[in-house]
Amino acid sequence: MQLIDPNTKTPDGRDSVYYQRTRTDFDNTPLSTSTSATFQSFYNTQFQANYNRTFNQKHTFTGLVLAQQQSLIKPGDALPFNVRGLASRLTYSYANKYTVEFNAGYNGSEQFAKGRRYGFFPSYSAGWNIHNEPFFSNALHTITMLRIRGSYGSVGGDQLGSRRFLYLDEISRQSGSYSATLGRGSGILESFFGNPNVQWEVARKANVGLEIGLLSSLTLTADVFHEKRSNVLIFRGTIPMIIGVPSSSLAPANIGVIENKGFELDLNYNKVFSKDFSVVTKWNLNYAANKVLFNDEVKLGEDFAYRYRTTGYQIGQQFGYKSLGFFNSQEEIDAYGVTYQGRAPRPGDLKFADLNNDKVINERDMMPIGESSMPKYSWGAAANITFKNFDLSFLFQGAFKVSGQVLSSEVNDFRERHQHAWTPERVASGEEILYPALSLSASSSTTSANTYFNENKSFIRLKNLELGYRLPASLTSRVGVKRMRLYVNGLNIFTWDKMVQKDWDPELGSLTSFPVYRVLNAGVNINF
Amino acid sequence: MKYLKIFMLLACVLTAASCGKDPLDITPDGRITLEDAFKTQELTEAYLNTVYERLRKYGCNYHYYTFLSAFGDDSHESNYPEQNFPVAKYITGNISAASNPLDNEGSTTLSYNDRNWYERAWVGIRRANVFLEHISDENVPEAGYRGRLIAEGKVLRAHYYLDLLKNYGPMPIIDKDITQQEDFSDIKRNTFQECVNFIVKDCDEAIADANLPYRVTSEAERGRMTKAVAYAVKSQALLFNASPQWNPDNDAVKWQAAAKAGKEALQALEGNGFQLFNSYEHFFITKPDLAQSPNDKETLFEINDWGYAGQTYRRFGNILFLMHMIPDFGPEKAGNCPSQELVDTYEMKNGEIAITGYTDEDHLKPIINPASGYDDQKPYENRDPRFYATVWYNGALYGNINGVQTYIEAFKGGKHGISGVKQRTPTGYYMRKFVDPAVRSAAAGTTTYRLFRLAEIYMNLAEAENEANGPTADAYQAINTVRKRAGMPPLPAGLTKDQLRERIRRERRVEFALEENRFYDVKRWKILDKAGKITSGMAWTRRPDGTLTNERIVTIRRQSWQDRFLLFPLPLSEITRIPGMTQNPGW
Repeated sequence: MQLIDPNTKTPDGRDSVYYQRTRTDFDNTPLSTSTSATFQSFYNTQFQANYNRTFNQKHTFTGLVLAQQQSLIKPGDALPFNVRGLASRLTYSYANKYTVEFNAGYNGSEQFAKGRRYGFFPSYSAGWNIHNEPFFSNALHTITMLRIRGSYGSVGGDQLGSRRFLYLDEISRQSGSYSATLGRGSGILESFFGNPNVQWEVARKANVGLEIGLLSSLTLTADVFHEKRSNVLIFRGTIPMIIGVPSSSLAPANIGVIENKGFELDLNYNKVFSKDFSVVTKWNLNYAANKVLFNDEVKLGEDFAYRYRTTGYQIGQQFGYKSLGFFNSQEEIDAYGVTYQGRAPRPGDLKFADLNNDKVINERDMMPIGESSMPKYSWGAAANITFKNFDLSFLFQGAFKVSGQVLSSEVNDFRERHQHAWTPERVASGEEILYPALSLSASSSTTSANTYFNENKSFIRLKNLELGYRLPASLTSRVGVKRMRLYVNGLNIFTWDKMVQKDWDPELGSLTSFPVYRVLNAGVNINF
Repeated sequence: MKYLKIFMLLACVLTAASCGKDPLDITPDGRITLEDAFKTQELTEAYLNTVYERLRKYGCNYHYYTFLSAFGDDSHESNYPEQNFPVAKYITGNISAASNPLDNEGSTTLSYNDRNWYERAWVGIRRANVFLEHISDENVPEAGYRGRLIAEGKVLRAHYYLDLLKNYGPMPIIDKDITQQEDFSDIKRNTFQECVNFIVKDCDEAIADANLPYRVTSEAERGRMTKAVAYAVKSQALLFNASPQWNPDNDAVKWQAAAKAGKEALQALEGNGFQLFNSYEHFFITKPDLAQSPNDKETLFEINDWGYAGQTYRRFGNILFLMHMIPDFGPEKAGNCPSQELVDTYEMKNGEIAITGYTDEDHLKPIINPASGYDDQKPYENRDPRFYATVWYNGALYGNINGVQTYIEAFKGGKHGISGVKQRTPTGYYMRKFVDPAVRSAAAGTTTYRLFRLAEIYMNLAEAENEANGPTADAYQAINTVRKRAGMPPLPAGLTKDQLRERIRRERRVEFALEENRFYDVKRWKILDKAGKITSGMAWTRRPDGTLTNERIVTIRRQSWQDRFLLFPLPLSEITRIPGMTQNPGW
């Protein structure tokens, strides 16, 4: 079926035309056949030497040297992914109280030019098992474990996106060029200009942790980390057109710097109270925040309300207009005295703040809006309780400090919009307005990201709940059944969120992604 | 120690197992380095092809098949005032450093789209630099042939620079490959004179090479650079350099240089068989033939029909039928419709100026020269023959369409009359130039767009000579040569320098009507504020008795006439990245 969309113009101004396959009975026929084959191979050669010895029953040394070479051939890529490396580990512990460890990796990757292939990545760690100290023995009946540890080290990364061999130019010969009388009609296609200096990305990570065990049933693990990733491979943002090469065909360079910090808390409580009653619970909370320290970004002009778009912000920071609510009348628009670049606002469109006070709403007025699309806090709680023949388990999950744009040009579900869009009548009657006035094509409210449509996507969700009952064996054995359990369970049973537009799920990035669905089951398990 | 020895042994075995080839040293097949691309003559030639690839298409390739003339006062694009189209944005002054619709709208990938002029020219310049740096006696051993290729590379580089200069003003001179450069703090604009010197040097060196031909003589080489192009580029560059926009103190030395270049160019070109095509009308609707002594001895550079893979109907000769055509053939739009201002500029056949100006701002009240015999109720009688070759006007005989003698009925209610749709003219005129009235299908159109033709060299010389030395015989002869071909009498003797300047400017407008010259001429003459505000048309009405009356109407009030429109803004991203690159005035 041919569809003509008059609202979308092709580059040369015609209506865009596209084809959609019409559903026929053929499509519904379940009979179909297809064959496919892929080949993948993986060779890994390792040589390993271990050393482990304890002297005087107190001094324990271990050592490890590992040399390895691997070769991975993936479907669709003729060239193997080869890695070579030498890893070593030295540990020393004294009377199970103090441990120190030294790790080092010397790795080579085919991703880099000769001379830059190998990287050396050492790391150090130390731990102190306080509970093994003699002075602690009195406290051991309440505090069963107490351990402090710390580490510092570097890790290398050679997975640099989908393009391989960034150090190489990609230049090829292409037919169909300007004149048939030159080079037999072919031209030289310079599609990529390699960067011979591309090298390992390096992450330096420091970590301090504390492990506490109480009364043999409660353990708490707390970790605080700080990571600085330097040498991050980024595309140069400050290269002008004057060099005569499109910036998209220039290789990235190892110049980005990103900082990442956070903490992780884990709490476990496992207790068997009696033969009939036991509890297993687990609770965790993670926090991670990152910040782009250097991104080779051009500083925007002084007339921009915010002069950087990435530097100093978290990865994926969204920018958009600040919404001040709806224009409720044309008079209100006129009184505001600000023109919108692009589409003019109508009554029922959003009023955007003119942050640089130039009476024009354009990209210069954009501000960082919302949180990152990756949650800063993620949280989970799970438990499994057994009481006599009953068992109950559940899992809660949550995310906080996360937001996202709920604006989509391809809105497939119009119902919510129609019911809650701005109209003068709804305003007059005091109805709840959730959307700007409807329009046949994109309106000023929907063409650019803004705070109104950037919604808090924090949520808590009861992901999983199961309740079971095991019939007494005395009952079931009579009919030859060893074990029989009745249960009900459900997935995604409840969600508590702060979304204004209720047809969006907080975990979904767009309206057209496969939805989070709720499942309710009841069943019986029988073992003979 | 024993363990260590064993380990060392194993490590040696491991190394030995792979010592034949370092497993990390794998290079993808089929990729060549830039050095490899200049290993053989064939590849070196292929790279020169790539230098050519960044030539723009000009003609009607300004987004939605608009002519450049529609951005000025020669014509009215029937698609205007459709919002959001570049022509409307430009005319309403809705352009900025961040967004220049003329420059950055359209497809990024299709090579026939004239977009990204700024980047495109720099890509061309870089490729020319790479080519000139790498061509050597190793990859092209034969000195003569190598000389020709080098000369072509230089003409191309000069051409790209001229393109930048005309649109963006003086530019930094980059004569080597700076792909790997990371620090741009030293880059600054050179002066206009320095840029012109650079262009002239490239052109002179190309002209000096004995192996660069004057003209392309075989079909296979159509579109290749020649000495004729070098002369044209040089002539235009020096003319711009001497013009008021770039010569505010009216330094006569600059005009002398332009005049000298014009004379040298004509001497060389005439001496090598170039001459004006005998029929102005047919010149634009025929494809240049290629031979040692062709019929078309006027074309200096035509735009090559390459790069339309699978969409050959978008070629200049084909697309005219679809996009710049009277409604009878069901075109998508009427396209480039000549303005009343252009029509008024044509002299009478007797060589008298018909309309000397307007008494009002809106161009509704023409000042008619009574001596000319012009009758505003019969405005299309006895005009310069080029008028009939350029404009379809009310009452003109189009020809036999499906057995019917068809006349243009541009009056109200007539089948070609003014109406609001883009398939009809907004001005009362349709474009005849480039459009062959005998053509009955898009595929039958074969003409190509000429970017440079000999008439321009004559007109450049006339203008420069008059400015440098006054109304000399050389100046007269140059302009009268062009008039003679058109079938117009010579200019009257005894004109003053100012009078001759006025006649030359009129002559340029008429001779190059709907071509690209006027868009730049009004800028370099700095008369954009006078010539750029109004486009008008002529609305005809048929009385009940069948007689016709006309009324002049304003069709466009242009808002792109201020001084800042003398140049385009440099792209915003560029001036933020090069601290020394100053923005053009007013942007």
